[in-house]
Amino acid sequence: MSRMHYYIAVPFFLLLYFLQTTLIWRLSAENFAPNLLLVATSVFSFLYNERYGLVLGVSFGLLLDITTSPVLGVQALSFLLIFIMVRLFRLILNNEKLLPNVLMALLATPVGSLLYWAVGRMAGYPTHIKYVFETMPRLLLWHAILAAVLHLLFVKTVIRHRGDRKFESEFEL
Amino acid sequence: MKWFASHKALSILGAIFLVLIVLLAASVALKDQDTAVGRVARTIVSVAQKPFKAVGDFLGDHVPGMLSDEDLLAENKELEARVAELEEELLLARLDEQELASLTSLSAILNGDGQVAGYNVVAADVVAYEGSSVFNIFTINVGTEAGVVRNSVVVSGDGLVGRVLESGEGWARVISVLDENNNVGLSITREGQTFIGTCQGSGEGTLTGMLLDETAEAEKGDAVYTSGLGGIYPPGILIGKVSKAQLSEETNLMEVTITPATDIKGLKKVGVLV
Repeated sequence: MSRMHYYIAVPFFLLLYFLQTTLIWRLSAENFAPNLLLVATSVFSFLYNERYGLVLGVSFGLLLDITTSPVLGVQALSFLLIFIMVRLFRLILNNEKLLPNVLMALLATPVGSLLYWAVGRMAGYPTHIKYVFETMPRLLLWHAILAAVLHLLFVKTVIRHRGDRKFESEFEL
Repeated sequence: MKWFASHKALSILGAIFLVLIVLLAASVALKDQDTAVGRVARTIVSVAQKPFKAVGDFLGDHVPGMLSDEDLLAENKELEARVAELEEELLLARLDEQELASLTSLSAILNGDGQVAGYNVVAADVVAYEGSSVFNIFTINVGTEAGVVRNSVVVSGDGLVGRVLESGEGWARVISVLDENNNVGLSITREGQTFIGTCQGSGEGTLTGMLLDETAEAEKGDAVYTSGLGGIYPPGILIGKVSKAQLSEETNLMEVTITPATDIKGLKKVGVLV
């Protein structure tokens, strides 16, 4: 059991959702914006044993889809795939370390972007893959920074008895 | 059943995955169709987004380009403004009376009192952008109550923005002409002659088009307007400028790449033709 709770996580994801759809674009002067919910899903999936990444990632992905995406289900599906990917890597990586968490966000970025692009193409939108790759380096940089910030913000809530070296929590997918 | 009971986590994941795949497939198949769930969700969200939009506008005005190089951007903006000024002078010299009238009415659009070719114009604020960087889709704060419906044309002071994908009470979702996969009728006027053609989003932040006349000519910098062909976009709205023009060896027709007049990521106010 971690010290994270839904009454903390839900408002946090809600805040990220509104920032994602409003403020972030006003601050970004170029043709891209970091995907806050994607990074949060990756970080929460990696940090906690509980399925915050799954529940909140898929829920808020669906909300993003309903309110902003041209295709329903694409963000939710990409967040689900990110959750599964991160949980599998969590079997071999230490979830309390900063670098693995940043690495997970970096791996999650192309998963999200490419799935979104592929589905958009299937739906008939003309977005070119070159356009997606052009923004990728800056997206990776911003996602790495965001993942680091979220990790530092929440790592203290990962284990209930952090000082107890014998305390171990069970792992579940 | 026993397997599902003993593999609860995997079963839940599989079920969610399947539901999302079905949702996605249905959404792709019924692309651009309106759903009741979507309408209700967007109506609720559009109200909640207002305070965030106000904060975003304030910070956007006072902390521009936080995610990019500020100095370069400022210099770039200054140069762009100067180039636009000079190009406008050049353009005005070339424009015929009809085009000048349509541009004048376009400039009045953002005051909410202008008219374009018999359309009423409703002024709207951009309240939210699409969550990813892949599509150029945004939400505005006027909808069905103001007569904004699917395929209503959206313009800015700079020119054509796009069209309404769907609308509800107090909101409408707009897709940029950059993501347009339907043909948009275009016209280019050079030395007193008007050439028509069609264009669509190239998927790379520009539009690509073709002039439907073997004698047609186009050059870099030529202004491109909507021709009214295709039904959705009325004639006389500035789409952008030709950034590349070359004769196609296959069709022997002039192919043009168009840089859009409006940068949708910087939009705060737009006009909707209703």
